[in-house]
Amino acid sequence: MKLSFKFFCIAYLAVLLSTGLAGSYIVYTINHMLWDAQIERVNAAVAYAADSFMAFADISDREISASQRADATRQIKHMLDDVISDLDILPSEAVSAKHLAMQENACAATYIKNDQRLLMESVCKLNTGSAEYYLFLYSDFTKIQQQHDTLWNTYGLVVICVSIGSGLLLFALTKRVTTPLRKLATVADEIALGNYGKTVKLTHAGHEITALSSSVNSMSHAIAQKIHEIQDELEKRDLFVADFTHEMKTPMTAIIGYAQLLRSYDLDKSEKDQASEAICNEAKRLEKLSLQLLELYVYRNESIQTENLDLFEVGEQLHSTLRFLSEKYRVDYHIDFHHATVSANREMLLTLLYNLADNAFKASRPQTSIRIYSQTDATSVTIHIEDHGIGIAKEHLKWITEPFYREDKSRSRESGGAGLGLALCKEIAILHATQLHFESEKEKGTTVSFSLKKGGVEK
Amino acid sequence: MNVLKNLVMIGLMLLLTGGILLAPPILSGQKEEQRLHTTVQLTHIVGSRSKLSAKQVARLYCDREIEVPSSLHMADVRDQVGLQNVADPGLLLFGGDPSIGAPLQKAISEACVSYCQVNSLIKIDNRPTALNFVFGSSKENPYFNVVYEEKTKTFLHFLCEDFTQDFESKEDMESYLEHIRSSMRNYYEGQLGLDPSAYHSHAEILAVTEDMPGVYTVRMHIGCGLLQEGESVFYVEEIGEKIY
Repeated sequence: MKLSFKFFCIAYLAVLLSTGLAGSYIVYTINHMLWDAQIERVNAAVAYAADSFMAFADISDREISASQRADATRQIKHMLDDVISDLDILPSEAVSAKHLAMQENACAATYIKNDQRLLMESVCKLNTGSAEYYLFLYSDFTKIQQQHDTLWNTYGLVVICVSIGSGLLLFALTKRVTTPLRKLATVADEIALGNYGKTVKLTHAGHEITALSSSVNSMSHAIAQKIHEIQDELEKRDLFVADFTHEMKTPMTAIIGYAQLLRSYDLDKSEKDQASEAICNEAKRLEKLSLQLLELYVYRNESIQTENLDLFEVGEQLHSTLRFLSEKYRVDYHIDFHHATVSANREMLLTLLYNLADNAFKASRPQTSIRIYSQTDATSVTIHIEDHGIGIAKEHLKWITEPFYREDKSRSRESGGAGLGLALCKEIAILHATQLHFESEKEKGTTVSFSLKKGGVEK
Repeated sequence: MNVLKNLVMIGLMLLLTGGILLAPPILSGQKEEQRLHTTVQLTHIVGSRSKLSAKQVARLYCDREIEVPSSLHMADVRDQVGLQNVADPGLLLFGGDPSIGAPLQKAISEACVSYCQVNSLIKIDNRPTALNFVFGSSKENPYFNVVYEEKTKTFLHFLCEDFTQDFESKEDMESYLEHIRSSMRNYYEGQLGLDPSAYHSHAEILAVTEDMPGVYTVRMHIGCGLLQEGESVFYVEEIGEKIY
């Protein structure tokens, strides 16, 4: 059974029951009050009539004659209000045995129906000392009974109106509450079917449901974004696998080719040396590739231990490894590091600086120079690696740190690179809670920058 | 299955609505029907009537809280009880003094008496009480008229015109008139506790004749009565007219 229908039924029953109980109680109480009030009035009137007759009896020494009784009746009726509609005084000879058996100087009342009227017949048996007389008083209760019926009819009408009114109102209310929920359910279904990013617009739906719709919309956006990220990741992974396979395949093809050549053909010594050399180079390339991949994997899944390092000392260490590259590429270099203390992992920082410097050397033309320098501010130290080489096109900057991505594949393969260097640098930067910033212009050069947190006191 | 459940639920709700609509009136009706067949014992204590004294009746009359009912149905009554009811109070008015009351009583008894009693129900302090007003009058000499309340023996009006009495001396005559005046005073001021302004009384000689030597026949006019608020004393005939 639908929640809305359950809610409707429960609410309707609650309204109906409360209306019924309250209405019944009110009508019953009012009827009771009216009836009791009328009986009280009759009681007072009967008592007054009895006392009045006894007062007449007090001034009569003998039996009260018929004319005296008539006079007394007239005068007593005149004194009573219209609660008593009729009055009669009868001697004992004129009454029935039932009345003769009544207690002396007592009054009793019963209800009688006369035509369409409901009357209360009050009978008082009075002993004047010389004779017994019976006072018959009649009070009309027809109006009270009609009021009673009217009140119950009104009750019925109210219950019907409340039933219909509350039924319609509750129906509208449940619709108002459940319609937004249905819309939300529809949107949720669409998201489940793959329509990520689908949102729902709900207005005037109540604070809680509007909050729920906002949450659903946020969830939808988050799902869409996550799906997008996952798709990007999958794309990158596919690309990675494709690139990795390609990088593996190329040297493997060369190794297998040369190996088959050695096995299948009778080569002279120089051809054998050439083939061996090629196999060795390609194997070394594969080894380097695997080591780099391993490093990349380790960096991605590891947390680092940092220490306070004197940047100047790091620069001195770097100097010893860059000398070789400088001679190899015939490109000069300058290291301008201040005596600043940074929080970093020494080995990783050196690897980062070496790789970036290596790229700078590779990009630079012979007889040019590269500069490695630092800038300090209040909380961090920024390191810049600047070259005046061939530069990187703007459309490649976005992808430059992706694994296996190379702007010029042919050039980097010549130098033995597989396009993993900057990917490694990016992971090292991430581990140091920083990122690489590239500024480059084709044929003008490239500057790579990153910041490290200060650690300790500057000398 | 759901449709069936919903239909059952709707049916139950309609049933409950009908129950709430009809059950209370039906149950109430049954209860009312039961009530109609029961006898209600009404609480009543017989005897809570006001008992008045002559003083109270006089005061109430003067304050216009009770009115003397009409005596239009006065009839010629000459039965002993009726006469007695009219004549005996005369004695009371004059303090039970036979020298005054007896001649009057005789005169009244011998006159043609019209007499009636009228019961009147009044409410004092929200309690009922009945007063029995006695009216008596004659159409022949001596003309008299009396209205009094029989239960408390309160004289509201007394008038006796042309009442004749023989005296042996003028002093006896004067003494007799003074006796009448003081009796009336004693009654209204002493017994009923009224101010002199609340009642009127007079005893006057109309004529004196000496038919026989040493016997003075005196024709007198005796009258007294309560005055209601705003009333003043008039000449006796006017009072007579006013009263009746």
